[in-house]
Amino acid sequence: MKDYEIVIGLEIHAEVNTNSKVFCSCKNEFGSAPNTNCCPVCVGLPGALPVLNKKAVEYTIKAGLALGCEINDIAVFERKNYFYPDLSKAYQISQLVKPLCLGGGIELDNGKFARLNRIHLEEDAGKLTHKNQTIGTLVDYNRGGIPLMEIVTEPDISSADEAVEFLTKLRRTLIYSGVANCRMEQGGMRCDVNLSVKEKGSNVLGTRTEMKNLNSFKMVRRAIEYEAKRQIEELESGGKIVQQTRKWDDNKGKSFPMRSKENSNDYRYFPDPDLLTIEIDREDVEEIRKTIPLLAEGRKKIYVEQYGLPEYDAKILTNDKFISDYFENCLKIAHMPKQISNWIMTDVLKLLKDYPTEDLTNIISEKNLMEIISLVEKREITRPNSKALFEIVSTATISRNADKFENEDLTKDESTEEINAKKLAEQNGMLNSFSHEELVTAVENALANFPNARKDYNETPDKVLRFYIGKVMAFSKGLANPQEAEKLLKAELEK
Amino acid sequence: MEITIKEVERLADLSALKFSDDEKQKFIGDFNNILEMVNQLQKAEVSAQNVFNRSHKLSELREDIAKPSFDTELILENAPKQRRNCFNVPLVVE
Repeated sequence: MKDYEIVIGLEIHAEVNTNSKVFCSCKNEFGSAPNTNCCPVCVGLPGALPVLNKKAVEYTIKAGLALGCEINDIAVFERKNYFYPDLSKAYQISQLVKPLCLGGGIELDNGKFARLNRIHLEEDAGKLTHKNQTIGTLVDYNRGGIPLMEIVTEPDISSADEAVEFLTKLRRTLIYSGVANCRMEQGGMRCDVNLSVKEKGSNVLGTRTEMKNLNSFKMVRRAIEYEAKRQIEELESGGKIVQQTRKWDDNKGKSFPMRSKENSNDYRYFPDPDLLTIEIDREDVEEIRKTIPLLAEGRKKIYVEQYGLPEYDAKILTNDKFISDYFENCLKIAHMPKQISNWIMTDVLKLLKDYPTEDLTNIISEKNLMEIISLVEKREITRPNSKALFEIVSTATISRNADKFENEDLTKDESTEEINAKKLAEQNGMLNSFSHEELVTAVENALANFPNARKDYNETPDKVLRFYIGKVMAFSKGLANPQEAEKLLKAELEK
Repeated sequence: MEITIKEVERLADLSALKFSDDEKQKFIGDFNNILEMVNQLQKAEVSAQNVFNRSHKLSELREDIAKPSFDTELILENAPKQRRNCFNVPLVVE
């Protein structure tokens, strides 16, 4: 068999995070009852006129700036004509000749720079639910008119791994910039894969196929692996690749050509006479650039350089913005980056695996986590007890928020009493009960049991002090407050 | 540009519509009349500059404020068929 190279280009659609739709003031919201966020503009009634949403344009530009794109001086909206019931007007308002953003790209871990071709702004289509021959297809136009940015790459990607890494980084950048939520399970981010294979080293690109609407990274990976194998086998057996659009069937693990009719699209683009050209001033672009917050890499750098966290921990904490946000909210309560990071990296993330959510306060509030950390720091609770307390507090929090998880076996706890870590620790008898009298006894015992050690106190006071503190802590099984013990010991030793 | 039967058939195909030969002939006439009318615009004296010098700045665009939508009944009023608050169309599965 010959050696082949895989050539992949991606088209990513991400819904823009606005309040209203792109050409009308209907709500941009997922999960509403069918056709409740609709008006004459977004159901395409004759005579209704589109009015462009400023934020949708600004956010698309912001995404472009975060991805290193050039922003065009002028942007034009065009009509892309096709007949399908998800589009009420029989055309989609999109951009062809003058998109908002050009170029840019994302650096992959292997050093490759995967280039973007462009980012343009368009409107999302309605949602179709296909029933059967008798009932037919049901159309809900709530999604119709939601602003959608289409991000198109150059054919720079050469494996499923690279594609998934690219998508992960792209998604992270869009989420950190605040321009898109990219909730894949809600269709907030979808991906089309263009793929061809060529003989290794050859400059001639093979014929490509397109796979549409892959809505998870897992699907993207499987679809790429399947399609590359299919094309190579086709060529090896002397066949030819037909340029076509294919539909990925994730259940069967195969892709199928869509009917040829849908391949014979002729979109007949032309400028939409209802919308004026947009003139983009450089001052406006610079204003938008100023609104780009610190992205994952920037936060990671601070975590390592200023907070002294290990590179690996900083990476895990910043991979998902909601985790990083949670970490930073905890920091605001008390600046203990290492302790917070340790708890998140172990106990919190472990629970997140079983109870997926984009809001860690559904598992444990920042306030309660910080309360537990503070109890440990003040030695008011032992380490094993702190872990048990975490378990109690998180279990209570999770059952309180049961409806926010998908787990079927969760029953919701309807009580309204605030979940308070310290209170729960008291109720469960977890707080240390090492009294001052006990501490005095422990100090006396330590000094009496090791009389020789104190002889060196004048020469090496710190060393001797540390030795006795250790003895007191051991005697108290870690329950004593070391600051208190130090005070008492010092007083005794200096007598 | 003159409309031919091929043009009509292509548009019908893209629109997923079927027509009889008589209807297609009628469309040829209709389309040509429309084009002829539009062609009168060629006589108008306009320069490209006049046509394209209208534009919006970012500051002139609509603020992103959501407003109430129409009642679902009103939205579905003209739907030939509806079901479960959706427009109901013939099955279009690929």
